[in-house]
Amino acid sequence: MALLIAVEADSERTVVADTSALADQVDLRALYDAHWRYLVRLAALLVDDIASAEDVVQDAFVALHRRSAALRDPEAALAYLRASVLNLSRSVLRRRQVARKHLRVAEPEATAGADHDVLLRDEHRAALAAVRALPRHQREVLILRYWSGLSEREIAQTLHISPGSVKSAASRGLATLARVLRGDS
Amino acid sequence: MTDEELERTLAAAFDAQARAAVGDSARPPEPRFARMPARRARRAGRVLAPLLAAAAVVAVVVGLANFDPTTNGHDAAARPTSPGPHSTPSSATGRAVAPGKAVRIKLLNPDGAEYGVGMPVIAYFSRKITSGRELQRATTATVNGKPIPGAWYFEYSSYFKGYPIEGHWRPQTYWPAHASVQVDISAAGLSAGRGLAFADSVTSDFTTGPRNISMVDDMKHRMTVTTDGHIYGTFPVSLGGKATPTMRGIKVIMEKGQSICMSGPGYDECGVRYTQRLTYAGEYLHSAPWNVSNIVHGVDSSNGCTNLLPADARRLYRLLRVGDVVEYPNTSGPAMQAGAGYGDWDVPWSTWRAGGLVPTR
Repeated sequence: MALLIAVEADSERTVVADTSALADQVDLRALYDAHWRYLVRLAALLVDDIASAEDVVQDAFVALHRRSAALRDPEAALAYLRASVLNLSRSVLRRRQVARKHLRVAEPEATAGADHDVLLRDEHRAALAAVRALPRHQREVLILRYWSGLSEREIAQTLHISPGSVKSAASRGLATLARVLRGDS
Repeated sequence: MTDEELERTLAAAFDAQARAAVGDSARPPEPRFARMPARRARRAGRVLAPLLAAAAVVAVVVGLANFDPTTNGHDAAARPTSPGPHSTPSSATGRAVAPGKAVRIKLLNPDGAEYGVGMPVIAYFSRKITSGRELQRATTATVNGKPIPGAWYFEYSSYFKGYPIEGHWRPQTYWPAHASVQVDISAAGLSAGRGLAFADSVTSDFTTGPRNISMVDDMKHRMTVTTDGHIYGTFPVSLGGKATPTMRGIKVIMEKGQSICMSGPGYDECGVRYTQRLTYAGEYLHSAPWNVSNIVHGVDSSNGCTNLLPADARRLYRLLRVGDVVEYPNTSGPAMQAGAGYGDWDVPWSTWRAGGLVPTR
């Protein structure tokens, strides 16, 4: 339970105020207000459902909050958030698979944004369905490359892979999509 | 389709999906990190605040829940006049220490939290204390600086290993809304019964949010939420089915989880959204996208939980906080007990004041 804190009798005496460190830290709240929408959208593309996407972003900020002492640079903070969103989204998808395997009740699991897709045009829906079927790696690269506005180098850093791997994953992914979409139409 | 067309289609599809997920006018909810008990940061804030004010600097301070401008003024005004428990003359140093084995005290309520008006102060004791009389006398609380009377009530506890007794301290009625609460438990050195002495003095400073009271009517299958006296909304619900009826009485939100796994006889589901816990046994308010039909048609079919439509669950998840009150006046399950959750308000005040497991009078 996250709320839990043992209030030790003597803790009030040890007033730790490393004011020098605080002064040049990044403003997490400002970062949150500025990037919340972008990050939730990124997560929504990755996990296909809004509630999970919101979760992922909250968790990413909580993780940054814990580490905030180590962060001085807003750019680095944003990179950290992006990487967290990627990692946490992978966990969501993994958990969802595990949950599906163990599901005894047939009904639940509000998965893949089928309902959100209703708002989309046919060609977009087909493209998104094809992207969903790609291997995780290619899918992530395509989302980052065609939506996030990141450079190839930044994509490589976010995914902890080489720029060459970004290129090859993207071209393999595109090739599959082209085949699927042409075949379908 | 050329590669270029494909790339354009892809970009447009991602963009459309992203916008469908979060509209351009969507406002971010209160971030979860702002609610986190940042104790170190808070204390730093206490030292920093006057400095900042003096320098009239708009400082960049990370994750300080207390730096919310709406509460900061309050805090800053209250702090200097409220000495910490260890600088008061009544603290352990100036007092004759009762002989006996040491009883450690842990508090659940972190400093700086914002709670609903039904939140009790919860303490865990490291030994089976046999008297709460001195503890009762040594516990004081103020609301916006004015003293408020209250009383302890004890039960056995298995929440923390090595802390067999749990005590809840509460006023006679719910806390006032939008208030700053300071609780001072100057127990160190006092007797906890024959051969037992408290080892710790602890304090908790928290604030209360709006007066959110929800009433779940099992006749109408509706949950009506009032906030500060105004009706916020009425929401259709599906409550516990015949075999697993929902408990009756006053419950308090104990914890919140955006997405959890639930399991029980015949079900085991992960990804249950917008959950707000009401009992230890596992009654929650939560989103139940698989049960929309029963929710809409007023059919009780859950395992005791209060099933809400996804959009409603999400709204209420954002509105309500830990400590908010949810009343179930007419469900068919067993009556709430103090230990079934935060069942504090189900115990009549006259009973409460006697202390329950450990006498306080």
